[in-house]
Amino acid sequence: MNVPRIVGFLILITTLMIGIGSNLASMIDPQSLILVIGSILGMLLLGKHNLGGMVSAVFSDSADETAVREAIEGYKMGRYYSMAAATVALGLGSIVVLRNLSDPGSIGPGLAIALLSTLYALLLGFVLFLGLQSGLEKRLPEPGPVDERLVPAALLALVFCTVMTVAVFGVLTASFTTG
Amino acid sequence: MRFIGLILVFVSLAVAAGSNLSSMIDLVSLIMTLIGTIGALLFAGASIPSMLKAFVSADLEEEVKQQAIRGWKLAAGFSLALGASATFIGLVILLTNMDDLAAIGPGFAIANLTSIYALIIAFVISLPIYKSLERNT
Repeated sequence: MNVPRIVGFLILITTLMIGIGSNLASMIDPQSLILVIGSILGMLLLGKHNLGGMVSAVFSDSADETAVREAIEGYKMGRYYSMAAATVALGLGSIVVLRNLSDPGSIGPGLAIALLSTLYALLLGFVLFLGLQSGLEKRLPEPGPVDERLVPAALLALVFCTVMTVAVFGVLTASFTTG
Repeated sequence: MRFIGLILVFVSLAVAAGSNLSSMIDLVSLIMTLIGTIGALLFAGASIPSMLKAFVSADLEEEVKQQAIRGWKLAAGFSLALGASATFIGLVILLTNMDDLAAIGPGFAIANLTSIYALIIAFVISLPIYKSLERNT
């Protein structure tokens, strides 16, 4: 980790905070955090990735090439697992929402939880893991090309959340017209 | 030629927006996607100088070109991911402030405009640039 990368990370956090503004408290949901982080860590452990090595490769500049390659593979798989976690979390969240459809007051908070877990998974997988992976790849003698599936996967995430926006407005309109 | 293309894209977008142009510009959404993408690129260790060099000049050293392809690809991925994240942030702001009409507007603006900005950064700016760089290798 060198100075420009830390500055970049701080810029990233600051811009997110500007967008969140005074709504920070509603952005933190322990249940979704446990669901997302726990399932990603669990899937990484199931895949026999060396979690300690992944963390230490980022912070120590003396890590040898095989350790760095192993860590890169771990972060890459972490990105895939985060998509799986997001999908599962969204499914769980929507079931909670749909079960409480009769009570319009609980729809808003329920949907917020369903959305928050997807948000955490996206930020973890496509921003944190991708950034760490790319930073590690720079230390290899031959970095190799960026994953061809990166842009299509990110587009999928954006299309997915646009569909979610439409769905949210559908549910809201329904709850306003019936209630 | 690249500058003409860039200007043409933005002029045609502005023409399509017409008199609603001012409602298409939201500073917070722009900060979240554009500055956020730049921050993420710095975090990923992408070389922003070589990305800009590849944008303005045609003849490049092989190493700079590879760095630029890498950087613009990462820019596309990061902007889409940040756009999706920001859309969710906007939706959560909207949903948790349902009883306060004044807060719905900003949440709604973040939710919709960030995805548009992310698409513009990724597919209108980054994609043509890195495809043209790849074609020349």
